[in-house]
Amino acid sequence: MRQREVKIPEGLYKLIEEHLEELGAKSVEEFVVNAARVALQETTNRKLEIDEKEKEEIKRRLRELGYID
Amino acid sequence: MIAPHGGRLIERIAGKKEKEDLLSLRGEYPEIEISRELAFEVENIAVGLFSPLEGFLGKEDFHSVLKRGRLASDIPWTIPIVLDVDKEKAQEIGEGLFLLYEGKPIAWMEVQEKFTYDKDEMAYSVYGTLSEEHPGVVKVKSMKDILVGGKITLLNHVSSPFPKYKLTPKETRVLFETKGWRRVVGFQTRNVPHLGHEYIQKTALTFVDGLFINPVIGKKKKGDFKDEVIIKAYEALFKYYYLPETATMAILQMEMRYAGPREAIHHAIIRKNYGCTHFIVGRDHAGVGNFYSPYAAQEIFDDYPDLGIIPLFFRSFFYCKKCGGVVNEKVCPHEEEHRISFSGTKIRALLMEGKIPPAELMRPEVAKVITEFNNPFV
Repeated sequence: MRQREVKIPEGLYKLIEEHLEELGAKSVEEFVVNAARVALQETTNRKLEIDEKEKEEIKRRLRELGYID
Repeated sequence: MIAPHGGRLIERIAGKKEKEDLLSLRGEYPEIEISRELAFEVENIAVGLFSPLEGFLGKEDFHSVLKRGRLASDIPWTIPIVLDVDKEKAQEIGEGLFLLYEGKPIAWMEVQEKFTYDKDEMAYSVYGTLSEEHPGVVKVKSMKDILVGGKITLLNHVSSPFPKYKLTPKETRVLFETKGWRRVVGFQTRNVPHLGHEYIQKTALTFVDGLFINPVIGKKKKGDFKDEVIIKAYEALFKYYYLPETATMAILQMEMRYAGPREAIHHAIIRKNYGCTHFIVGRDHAGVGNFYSPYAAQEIFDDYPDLGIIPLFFRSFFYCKKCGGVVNEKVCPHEEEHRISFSGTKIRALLMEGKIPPAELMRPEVAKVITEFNNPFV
């Protein structure tokens, strides 16, 4: 896997290093990577849009199958 | 409503015109007959259950999944979804390929690449062992030598013995929304329900809006319960012990891999795509024999803080005669002698003899349904 370098302020690095255990990470790098992953997961997730016509068709099938009244 | 894995629900189902156009190409491209299990994978990709996958893995994603449990794009993904072909067939394959199931074309595949792979590396990465006692290892070793990667387009759905319970992620999402469920917990199962399962499900349900029971239908190992037995047993449980306002069931047509921790992540991703916000992970989830430590399938979630679905971890439950109910070691102060464990082996042995397990272990209505089958096991 290819990797890139990112710079962070030294004070922040040290602060993370001091609190690694509470942060649930084994290294500063692991914490930063995981924090980025969580932020991205929340940001890139889009709400699923289903148009009303399709939604009504789905509801009709669900009614036929007995899932909804 | 929770977003699908990777942010977008994949839908690769040909419309009427596209289907006609693609089928008109038959005869110009090679065709391969695929197994029922692979046909399930194709359909699961097409309806979005495997979002963000749009087809079978290419080389970069394949190696990334084995090494890191993530796609090359860094999105969590732990089970390689691959199409294997033999060397002779691989030579025939160019830009496209028809996938047939039971002689009928079920999908068109835009071939992006063909590549060789190391079966030992694949087996060890996914199953954590090379033991041929492990059914997953045996399966990998029996795979053909070339993998073909590329997007698929579904031409025909795979038939199901339980059409009433077959829902797509789009349908479950509309279902949950219509029921007014904002928080939904998914429960994966390949077993008939005993009281321990029911207790876990209801404990989880207490904290969310809805419970989604999702039995896996497909190839299982010898000694597992037959699919129709599982469905009938759950129907009995629903009839007598669940509220339709807060619980529902649909099947998942997919082969069990028994990959323990990695499969637990895979199962969670699928339930996220169905629209679940929470997922139950019990003891030895998707395990087989003694290949995985009892809670390895829970510990692996620490590596995936970005999974986007909340795992609910449960320890073992048992019936305590002194407590007078189903409890676990966190809440029961009594000694071992007062406890009756939900031993699958014990329950199976009783059912095999046509006996009804005690009411502390299994609901009589559920046991009755199971014993009505001559042979409830695979």
